[in-house]
Amino acid sequence: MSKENVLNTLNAALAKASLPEAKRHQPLAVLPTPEGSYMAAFQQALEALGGTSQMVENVVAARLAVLAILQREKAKQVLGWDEKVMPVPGLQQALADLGIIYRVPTITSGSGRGDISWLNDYPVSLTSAGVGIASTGTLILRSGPGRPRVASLVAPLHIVLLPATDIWPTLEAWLGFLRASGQVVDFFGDGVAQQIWISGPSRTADIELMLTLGVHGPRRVHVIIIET
Amino acid sequence: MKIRQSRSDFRQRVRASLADENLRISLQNLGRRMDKDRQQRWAETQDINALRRQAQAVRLDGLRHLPELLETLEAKVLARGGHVYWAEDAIAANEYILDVAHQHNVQRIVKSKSMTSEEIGLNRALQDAGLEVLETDLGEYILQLAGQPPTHIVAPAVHLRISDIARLFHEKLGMPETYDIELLTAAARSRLRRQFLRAEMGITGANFAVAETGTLAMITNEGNGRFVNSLPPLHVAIVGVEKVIRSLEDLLLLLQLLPRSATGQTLTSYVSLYNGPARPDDPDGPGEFHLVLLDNGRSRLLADGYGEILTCIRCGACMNACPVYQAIGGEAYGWVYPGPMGSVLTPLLQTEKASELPFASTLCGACRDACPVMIDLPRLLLRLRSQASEAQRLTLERLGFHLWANVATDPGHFHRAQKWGHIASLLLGLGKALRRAPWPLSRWTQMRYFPSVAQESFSHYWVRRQQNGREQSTGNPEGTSSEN
Repeated sequence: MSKENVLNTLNAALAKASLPEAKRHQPLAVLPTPEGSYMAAFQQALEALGGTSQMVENVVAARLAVLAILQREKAKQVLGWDEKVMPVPGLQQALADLGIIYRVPTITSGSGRGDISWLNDYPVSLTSAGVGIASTGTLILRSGPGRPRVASLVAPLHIVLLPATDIWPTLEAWLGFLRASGQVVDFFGDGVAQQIWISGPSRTADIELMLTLGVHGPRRVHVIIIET
Repeated sequence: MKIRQSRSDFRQRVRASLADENLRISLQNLGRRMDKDRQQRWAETQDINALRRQAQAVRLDGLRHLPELLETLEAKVLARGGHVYWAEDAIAANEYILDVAHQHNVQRIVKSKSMTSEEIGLNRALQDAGLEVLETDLGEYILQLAGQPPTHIVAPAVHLRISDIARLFHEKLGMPETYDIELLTAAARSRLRRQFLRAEMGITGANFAVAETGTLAMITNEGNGRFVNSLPPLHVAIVGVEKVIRSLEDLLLLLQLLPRSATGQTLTSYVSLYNGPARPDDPDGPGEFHLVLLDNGRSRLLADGYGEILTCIRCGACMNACPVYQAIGGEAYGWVYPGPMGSVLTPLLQTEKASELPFASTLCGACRDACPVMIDLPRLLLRLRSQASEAQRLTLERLGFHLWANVATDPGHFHRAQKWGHIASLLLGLGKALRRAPWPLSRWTQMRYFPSVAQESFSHYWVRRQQNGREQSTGNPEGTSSEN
């Protein structure tokens, strides 16, 4: 068995290995927490990465903000998460009223998926984020029912709904909260096959180290922060 | 994957690289940008060295408990419906991945950048079996079109100028020859997008594997890695056994250092965390997931006392800081891991023919200072050097040093040698140093001067100085040291 072989070799190697001494300290070093409002810090960090954001008072204003963007972009069809998993109700109806097609994509893993190039037809996608991180301008999105992975990936513009109460100062503070409240399983348990931490638009510097945005993922990321 | 060069090839490659004007400009750009970006980010970070010590401890802790952490990781992945294969070497890993591909009648494979897959020559193995393998990282895609290997572990195509890429895209993709990076990027994007949507299998690596939760972490900026582990129905991740860490806290700690040290970013655009296949209720994602855990010489180098190099987090900071890498570039190193970390890893993972690489270093220590996990690269290089020279057959140079050791460790011999040495220097008509000696000493003076022996030895001078007292002690004692 390959497993036994690898483990036996490793155990034998460790018995002979000489590794430098280094003590683990508790707690582990953590970079500083942003000062002032987490919302403002989040916006600032995101902007520095080339993302954009706006603050709205409540879910009704959030719905309005989404519609305004879609009209400005002249988007005829939008890819997104199921309304049921997002913090803003009534979105799907509001889009339908404007004649905008809203599609929650399903892509089967079996052989019967057929041609999926229709994914390229959507100029805009809409999801929410479960968590925002102020120090790094990061959005945390989990996969799961009603939350297809492609909805945050394939369109050139990604609009994200983020409740202000879900913004944490640092990744460490967020993880500390998950530990203390026994909620680690909500993000790293059996139900979540993949989560993605998004910090700004897709970028590359592979040609002469010059920055280019939007190489595979979204070129623009816009976050609508909902205050209440 | 066999190493591409012999000893003499290495020197030829270095000469070729040094003569390449385009390469020189690219490498200058690299040193100016990437190393400066890291330095700046580190300078902004309060108590960066405390962070580095913590990261070093986390990596060493992972190494010391490798077997148990790997078993925890495996159990978690299996519980989520994933498959785990333990590969002893490159051949076993390649065969397994090829088997998986065959079982699912896979024809088209998309890959995100993985140095581990480069290490085992996975692309070649799959292509030899008739499968289509496409690299999707922009840099790797460019190199695949050019038929070249990566020369940097973070910026794989850093040796190419935009003019090279413009010509390449014109020839291979039939687009107008343009220096507009936006256009070049857009061309690659649309071609690769088509392939993402058609591929039956995706292959990625991982930066870390968190045992506690069975989570693989992959950091990217372009988003191609997200396509690779989201769209194809089948996902294979290949991970070196040393990538396993204990907890999510350890992951966050290392993520504070990796992007800062690699590209000067606080965090990369994307951190993908995945564990096993898509769940039955998920609307998309791969239905099948395989994790390949690779040893391929890692346990051997751990047993041989080189375990410290396994704490490497593949940030590339050591090559960005290295004066040798910046002069010769990555290709001259001859294998997938270049620069200081490569000069340690390559001779250890590729047991033949790379014994010269540890000598391609000035031992200035810039790599150790730039290493986020504080690997003592110069010490490892020195150890490899002494091993390499012990293994060498007896040469005139070794004989010379042997003789020198005999003389230098016996005060009587040393004293006599100084006297006769000075007389010999006079007979040879030397000034302060021998610049061009006759054969066989010429092989030494090709590279450096040979100091002549001073008229008066230091110990003699010292005794005289003590005896004569203060009045004659001023000035620099002439001849006690020679230049160079």
